[in-house]
Amino acid sequence: MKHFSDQNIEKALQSLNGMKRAEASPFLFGKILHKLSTQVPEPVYYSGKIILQFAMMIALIISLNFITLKSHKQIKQPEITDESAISQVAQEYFESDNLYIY
Amino acid sequence: MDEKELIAKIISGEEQAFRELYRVFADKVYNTCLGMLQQTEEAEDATQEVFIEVFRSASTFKGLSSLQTWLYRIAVNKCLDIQKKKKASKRFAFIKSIWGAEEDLQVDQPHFDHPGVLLENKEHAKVLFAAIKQLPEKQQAAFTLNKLEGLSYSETADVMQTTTAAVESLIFRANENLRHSLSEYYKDNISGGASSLQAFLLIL
Repeated sequence: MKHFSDQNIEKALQSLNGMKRAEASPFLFGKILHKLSTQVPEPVYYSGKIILQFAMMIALIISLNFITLKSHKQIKQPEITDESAISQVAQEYFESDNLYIY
Repeated sequence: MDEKELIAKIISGEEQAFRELYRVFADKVYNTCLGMLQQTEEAEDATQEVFIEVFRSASTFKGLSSLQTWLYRIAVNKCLDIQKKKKASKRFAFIKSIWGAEEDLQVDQPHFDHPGVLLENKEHAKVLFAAIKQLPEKQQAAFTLNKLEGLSYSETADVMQTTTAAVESLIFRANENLRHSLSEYYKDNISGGASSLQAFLLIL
């Protein structure tokens, strides 16, 4: 059964061997010329509304960025008083003289 | 006539030069489009669009690749665009049908019979073409250019603007996928006995 299936797969994969190129219709060139003479390439138009929306979107993004940066600068980082903080940690963890007993 | 000379004449609007270009490349472009789209009318439309684009954008051809490569590239891109549009419209039609719109769903042609396939291979080729249609687009393009058009790996790579190794990989994976699809089909066909090519196409 499997052998039969494999044979068919091989036959299908080989079925394009020796094939000829399909030929275009003899009337195709006439159609192309006709299309070329009648079709005018469509210019790309953008409506004023779309341009305005795009400009507003860009302005919004820029202003949001600006606000974020400004507010980020205003946030004060808590200052760590070096002596007190370090000594607190030291007291908490190194209560005994022996550094290896926690 | 030299390629550059031919393009220069097309740019200047000489119909004879355009006719010459068409004479040389029409069948190549049409066969590529037919292989990828697997519908005669669509392939003809795509071929028309390719030559119209060539005529209109001839001035953009810089001669970095051969004229043949340029034409194949336009043809492949055009076919991929058509396939994408078809898929999108199918999806849209499906959604519309859910909402009760009365437009019919687009149904693919049940099986494709390439006119160039040898008579004794016709039935197997139909199954193969159905499986080719299910390949990812890059694999499909590479397989079509290599197997149907007979381009070498390096020529295919030039058309697809990639490396020869990438094309080798694409065709290897295409063959693997085809083998898998075909084994599914023939397995069902043998065990089911009555299942037909159309059933396979419907499953796909």
